[in-house]
Amino acid sequence: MAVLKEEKEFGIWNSEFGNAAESVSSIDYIDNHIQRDQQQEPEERVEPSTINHQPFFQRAYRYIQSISEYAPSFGSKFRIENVTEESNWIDRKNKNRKTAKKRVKDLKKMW
Amino acid sequence: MTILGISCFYHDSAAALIQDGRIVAAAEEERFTRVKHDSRFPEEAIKFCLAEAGITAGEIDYIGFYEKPMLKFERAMHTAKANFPYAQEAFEEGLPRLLHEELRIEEIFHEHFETDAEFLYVDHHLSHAASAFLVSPFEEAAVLTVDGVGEWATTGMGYGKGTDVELFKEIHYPHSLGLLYSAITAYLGFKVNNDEYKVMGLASYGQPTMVDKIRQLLTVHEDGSYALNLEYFSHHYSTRRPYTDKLIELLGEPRVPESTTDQRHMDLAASVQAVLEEVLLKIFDALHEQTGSKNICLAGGVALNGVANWNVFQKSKFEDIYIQPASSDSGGALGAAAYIYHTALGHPRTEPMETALLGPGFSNEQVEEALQRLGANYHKLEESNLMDETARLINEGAIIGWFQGRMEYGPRALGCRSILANPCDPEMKDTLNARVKFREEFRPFAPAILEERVNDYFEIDRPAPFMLLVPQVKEGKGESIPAVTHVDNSARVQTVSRKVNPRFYDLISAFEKHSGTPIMINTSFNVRGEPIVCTPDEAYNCFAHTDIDFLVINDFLVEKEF
Repeated sequence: MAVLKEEKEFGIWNSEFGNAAESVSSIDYIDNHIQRDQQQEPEERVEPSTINHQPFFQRAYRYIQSISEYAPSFGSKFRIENVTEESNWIDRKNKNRKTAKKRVKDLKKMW
Repeated sequence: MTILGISCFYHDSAAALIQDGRIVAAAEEERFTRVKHDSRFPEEAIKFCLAEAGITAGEIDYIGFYEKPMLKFERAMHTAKANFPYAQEAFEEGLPRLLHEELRIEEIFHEHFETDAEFLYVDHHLSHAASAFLVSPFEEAAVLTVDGVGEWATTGMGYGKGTDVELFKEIHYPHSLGLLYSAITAYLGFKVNNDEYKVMGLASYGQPTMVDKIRQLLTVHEDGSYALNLEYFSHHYSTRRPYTDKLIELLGEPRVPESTTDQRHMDLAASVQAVLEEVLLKIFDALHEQTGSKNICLAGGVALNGVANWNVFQKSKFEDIYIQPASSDSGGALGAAAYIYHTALGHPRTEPMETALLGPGFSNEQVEEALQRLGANYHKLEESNLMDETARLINEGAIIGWFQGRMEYGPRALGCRSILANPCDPEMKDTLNARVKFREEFRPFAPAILEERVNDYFEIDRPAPFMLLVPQVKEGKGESIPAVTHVDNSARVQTVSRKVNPRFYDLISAFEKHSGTPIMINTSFNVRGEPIVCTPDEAYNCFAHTDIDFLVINDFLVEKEF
């Protein structure tokens, strides 16, 4: 699954979807979830009944695809493992770039 | 070397131009388009910066964007998925803007301007940090940035020395002091990203009786870090309102916009202000311990909270403070440019930024052409006569539109696009509100005072040129300046030096000769809901359509006889 591969590669894979989602992409998983949900009685549904999910998923799919066009190797900056019970500070990894050329090279990146 | 900095696509778009280390020009887009907090690509602000420098876009060496678009995109994706399906609306509203605007910033720039300049991207909070430290008077300083959110960061602790500035610790979205304050701003019926200063003003009328409830909204650690209790907030998945029903269960029914404010609202404002200061003080202490510096630099939208700035600084171990006057996102444009010039390229720092007067200015010829075209009733005065006549009018109770020199960069009018009035008149606050400003009665007006006289009237021992420190009025002095003394005896003071703004300084000096008081009311030259006036035409139109008595514009005194 191309989307699944990209989601994992770009660090936007949501592991909270669990093993049930392993064989499909997150987007497909969510789509299935909504379709199942909409088969429920209105009062049993999780999401708003007005949800119009088809355009949403079409766009979501395109958005995820477009990531690779802009930044094929960017990685998640979200380092939740830094957070502890005593502190919510996240260490920022500063690169010690000694030359202007290298510093400018870092600044050329959109990530 | 010429570097253009730009910030846009969230709120307060702006451009700033640095040439060989000197800040040549800086302005918000809203001042040109007349759309308050305009977030669009800052085409007009860029054109102004280029014109001020007398160059074309082809002569720019580097263009600095104030954040990393891909990281912001990443945060938006994470947030949308983590909060699915509730984040659908936010996702649909936010991502097209990110994809079609922010991620395409380079293409959009080239659609408007021809240039071969290198495009560089500076982190949002690093742009804020650079906007404060690199233009500060300090050789080294601790740096604190606090706002709603940048890419991931919402709070940053850092250190600057010489030409280097870096952040070493961050707190990440959705945990945000700025968004906590914004949620209460929305709860109190005010506009997010616009009216936070109203909550600050309202707080002075209340008692912090609800701090225990506000403390339930977040966990604060001893090292100053904090985490919001997300059960009370919805900013990470809703664009409709930033708080949940659980917050309403905790605090009661929210205030309906434009309705009257009661004691509960005031106490709530006082409580969130108190908790904000508690957390900031812990961060100040942590920053002092980690850097050992005597100096601190502040930027980010929360640094516009002058009450917190002064209260926390006074209680902290820091000895000196510098705050970027354009501390909200507009200042990111300047910060990105300064970071590229000094930190990335290693050029030595130049003069500190002592003035925010970096926007458009107009010659007497341009002003007179406008006044003639508009059919204004005006006459030209010699400088000394102009000062004396204006001071006399203010002393006699007139409200003056004051338009001089270059416009201010940042949200405060600092004596170039100001409405001035007599602070000694106990009725003047209500008069100004009823006749010109039409704003909430609980909001105070600011005093502008001669710099060397500040300690005669206020409990402050240093200049406050950007109206970002709110000290107490000295005992016994409040009665003499009732129109600028807030209900809790505080004042959002601006010190005026002859070096930075000679004409405004001379006017206040002339007013002192008439009134015995070296202070006047200084409020922004606009009406409620509109950006501050920028051009002579806008100044005249504001003057003509309100009850401002006289307009003093460059060397011309304009009277209201049509």
